[in-house]
Amino acid sequence: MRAELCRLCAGALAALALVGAAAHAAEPLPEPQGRVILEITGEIDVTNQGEAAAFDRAMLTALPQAELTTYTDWTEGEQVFTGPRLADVLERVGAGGDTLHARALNDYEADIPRSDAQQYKVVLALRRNGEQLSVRDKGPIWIVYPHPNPESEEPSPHNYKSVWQLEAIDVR
Amino acid sequence: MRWLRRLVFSWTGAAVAIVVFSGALITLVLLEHQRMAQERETTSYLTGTNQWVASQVEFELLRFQRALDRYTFEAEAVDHDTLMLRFDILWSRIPTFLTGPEAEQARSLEGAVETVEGLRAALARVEADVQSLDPGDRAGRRAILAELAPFEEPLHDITRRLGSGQWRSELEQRQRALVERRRLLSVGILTVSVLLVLVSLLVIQRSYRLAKQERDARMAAVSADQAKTRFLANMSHELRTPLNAVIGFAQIIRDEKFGPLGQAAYRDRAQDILTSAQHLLSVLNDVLNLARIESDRMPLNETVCQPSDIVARCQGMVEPDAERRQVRLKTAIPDDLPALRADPRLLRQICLNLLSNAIKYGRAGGEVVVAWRAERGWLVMSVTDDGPGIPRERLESIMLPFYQGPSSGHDRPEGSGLGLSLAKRFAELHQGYLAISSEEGQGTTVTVGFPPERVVSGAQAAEAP
Repeated sequence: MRAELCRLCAGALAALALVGAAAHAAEPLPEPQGRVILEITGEIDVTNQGEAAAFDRAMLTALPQAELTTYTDWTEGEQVFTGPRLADVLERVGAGGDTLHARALNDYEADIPRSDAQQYKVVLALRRNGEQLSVRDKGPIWIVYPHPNPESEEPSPHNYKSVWQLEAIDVR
Repeated sequence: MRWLRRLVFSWTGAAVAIVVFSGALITLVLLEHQRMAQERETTSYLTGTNQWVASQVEFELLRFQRALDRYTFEAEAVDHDTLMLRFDILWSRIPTFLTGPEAEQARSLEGAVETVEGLRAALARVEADVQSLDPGDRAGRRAILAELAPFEEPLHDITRRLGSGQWRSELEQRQRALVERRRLLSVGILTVSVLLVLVSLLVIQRSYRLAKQERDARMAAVSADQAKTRFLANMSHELRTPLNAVIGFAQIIRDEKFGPLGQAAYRDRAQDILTSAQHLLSVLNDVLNLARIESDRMPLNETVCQPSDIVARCQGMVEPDAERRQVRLKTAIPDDLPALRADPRLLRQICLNLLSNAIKYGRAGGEVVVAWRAERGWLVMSVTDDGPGIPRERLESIMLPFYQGPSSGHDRPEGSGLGLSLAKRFAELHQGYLAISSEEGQGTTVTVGFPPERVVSGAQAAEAP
C-alpha cells in the first residue's frame, strides 16, 4: 500500500514539474529565414542569434495577430492596425526586466515601461488598414497605443512611446 | 481680567482666520507656480521636438547622400537594400515635418514648408533612379545629387533658426507675457485675500463691540428693574401709610368721636375729605397693582375659592352704590358649580371691578346679572348689564389703562380707569381670559374665564380648608 502511494506521489510531482517547466520555459526560437526586421536583446531567455532574438516578418506574423482600431495623431480618421501584441512578443522571448528601450531606424529612442504591454494592450503593427507598413509609411513595425481621447485637441500622452520604424528592443 | 480674556479670544479668532486665508492663498500661489512650470516645460519640450523633427529631415538627407557615396565608391560597404532603406527613411521624415503635431512651430518658419515640399517632389523625381542604380554608377549618382543637394542649405537653415535666435525669442516673449499675467493674477488673489482678512477682522471686532453694548444695556436694564422693585416696595408703604392716617382721622372727625364739632358744615367737609382720601387710596392701589403686574411682581396666593362666596362679598360691597342708582343685582350660580383654585383677593377684585363698572355704566333702574357656569371644562363668570352698551369703535380702547367712559350724570369721574385692565391682567395671571361683548343699545356682558386646570372637583373642594 505504502509503496503504491509513493509511486503515485512521485508521478504527480514529476507531472507537475514538467507542466511547470513547460509553462515557464518558452519554446526555442527558429532562425529567421527572411530579412530581420526586429532584434530583441537584454534580459530575455530565448535567443537565436547569439545574445539576441531576431525576428523576420514571417516569424512575427506567426504569432497570434491582434487588431487595434484606433486614432493616431499622425493619421486621419479611424485606423485598423494589425500585428502581434507586444505582450505576446515579450512572452515569446521570455522577457523579464521592467523597461523596454526601443530604437528606430532613424536612431530615435524611447523608454517604454514593461507594464504598458499589459495595461494598454500595445500592438506591434505590421499592417495599417490591411496594407503592409513600408518604411516610408512608418513601417516595418510601428508601436501603436490606443488613443485615450481622439475627440480632444490634446495629443496622446503615449506619443513619445509610439515608436515607428522600430528596429530593436533592448529589455532592461 | 475679563477684558484680557476677551482680547485674547478675539485675537485667536483673528489668528485662525489669518491662518486659513494664508493657507488658501499659499495653495493658490503654489498651484499657479506649478502651472507656470508646466507651461515652461511644455515650451521646452515643444522647442526640443520641433528641432528634432526639422533636423531629422536635414540629417537623413545627409545620411542618404553618404550612403549613396559609399554605394557608388565602396560597393561592399553599402548594399542596395541599405541604400533604399536610407532613402525610405528620408522620405518618411517629410510627412512628419509637414503634418505631424510636434512640428507646428517648425512649419511656422518662413519658407520651411515650401522647402520640404520641394524636397518631397525632388525625391519623387529621383526615386526610380535610386531604385535602379548600380554600384559604381557615378553619373547616376551625380544626377541624383543634382536634384537633392540644393536642399542641403535651406534645410540647414530651418534647423539653425529653430535652434537659435529669432523664433526662440518669440517663444520667450510669449512665455514672459504669460508669467506676467500669472504674476498679476497672484497679486490680485493676494490683495483680495488680504482684503477679506481685513473685512473679517472688522466684522469680528464689530460683533464684539455690539455684544459689549448689549451686555451694558442688559446690565442697565437689570439695575433699572431692581430700582423699580425697590421703588414699588417703598412707595407702596410710603404712600399708603399717610393716606390711611388721613382716612382714619377724617372718619374720627366726621363721627365726632371727641365731641360735637359745632357746625354741620365741618362734618360735611370731613366727609368730603374722607371720600377723596378713599378715592385716592383706591386709585393708588390700582396703580401699584398695575405696576406690580407689569413688572411681573404679582405673586398669587392660591387657595380653593367658592365663586358663590366671592360674589356674595362683592355684592355686599357694592350695594350702597347699586341702591343709589336703583340698580337691581341678581346672581345666577348653579349649586353644583365646582370650586376654583385661585387667589381670592384677586378674584374678589375682578368681581368687584366688573360689578362697579356694570353699576356705573349700566342703566339707572336697570338690572345687573352675575352668572357663573361651567363651559367646556372652563369656569366662566359673566357680568351683564342692560345699559346703553359700548359702540364697536370703543370696545378696544376701553381695555386700555386709564380710559374712562362717559360717566352718566356725575360731575367727578369715579375710579381710576384701571378697573377693566386690572381685571384682565388678574384673569391672565390665572391663565384665564377676559372678553367683552356689547352692542350699542343692547347692554354689555363682560366674561372672565378660568382654565380647566384651576377647576377643583367636588371631592378636592371638600378637602380644602
